[in-house]
Amino acid sequence: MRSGSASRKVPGGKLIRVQVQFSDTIRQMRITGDFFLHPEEALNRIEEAFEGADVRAGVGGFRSIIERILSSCNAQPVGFTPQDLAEAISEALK
Amino acid sequence: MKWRIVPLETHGAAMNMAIDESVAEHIATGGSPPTIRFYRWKPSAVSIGCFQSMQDEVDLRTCKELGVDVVRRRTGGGAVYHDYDGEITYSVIAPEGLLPKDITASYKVICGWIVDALSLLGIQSGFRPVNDIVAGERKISGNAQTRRGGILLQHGTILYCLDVRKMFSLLKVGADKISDKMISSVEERVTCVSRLKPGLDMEEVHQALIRSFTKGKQFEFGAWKKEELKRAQELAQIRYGSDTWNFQR
Repeated sequence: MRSGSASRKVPGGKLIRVQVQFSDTIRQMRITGDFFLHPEEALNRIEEAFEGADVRAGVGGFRSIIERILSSCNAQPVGFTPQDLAEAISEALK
Repeated sequence: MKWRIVPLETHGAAMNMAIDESVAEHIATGGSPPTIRFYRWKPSAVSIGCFQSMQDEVDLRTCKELGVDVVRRRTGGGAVYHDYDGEITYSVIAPEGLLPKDITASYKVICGWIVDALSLLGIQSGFRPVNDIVAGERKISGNAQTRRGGILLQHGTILYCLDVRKMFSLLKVGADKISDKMISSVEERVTCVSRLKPGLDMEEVHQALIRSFTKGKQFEFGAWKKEELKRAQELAQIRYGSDTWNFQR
């Protein structure tokens, strides 16, 4: 089991920090930062959705997971995009 | 429909956040009118956004040494030092339908009231998306919004007098937060009323805020209902005063 983390300051936006525990799959993910997300509960749903995700899914795969959860929660991020978060997750897994 | 204006009052960190939530609940059930409140924090406190890590953002040892409270807000956004002598905080708590549906547009409307208040005081400022008000390039107000159960809560600070060194001794501000602004000193990021217009006292700022926040509105000055305060005291205990809530992330 490995741990990784990455921070990303989105230009014109907010800071996202991702911390992960993983092997071939993601065991646990924690996302923190000074962004907004409406409704706020969507963040827990995103973190839960990544449990068991294949670490090799890549930025595109991670973005799809995030977009699926945002859509299902009718959630709107403010200060970051799904692409920003996906890239931070990918960075944390390196 | 009249807005209720609750003028400047002072509470501890947990109670300030609890009042916001209690009032939102009572507005949702129709028991209270849309409300604007102004308040200070005593003891001084650090509040963090609901998605932040307390350990990452706050120097807890220094807070304890200086008798500064810490609390997690229900709103997102960043870490804020609420100096009792240094700022006025406001909350706007209202049915969503009274403000624009678009989040940025709603920030712009409410932040516009702050820009107007600062203009009354002779300070030129502007709204900088997502949620800041800047005078020149320096931040003078930060704001945060949540929408739950059809109720919009936006709260924010207007910096009156800033002790930058004390603020950044309490907050952990990482290089990655400010690196894209290409400035070396965090002291260049913020400003305050007393720096821009020396001689103004906090009550003058308060009165300017009341004037601008009530402009164009039907309103009356009011106080908290007994049941709002009772629920706030309950929330202060079970949520905002609890480690389970404050240290959840």
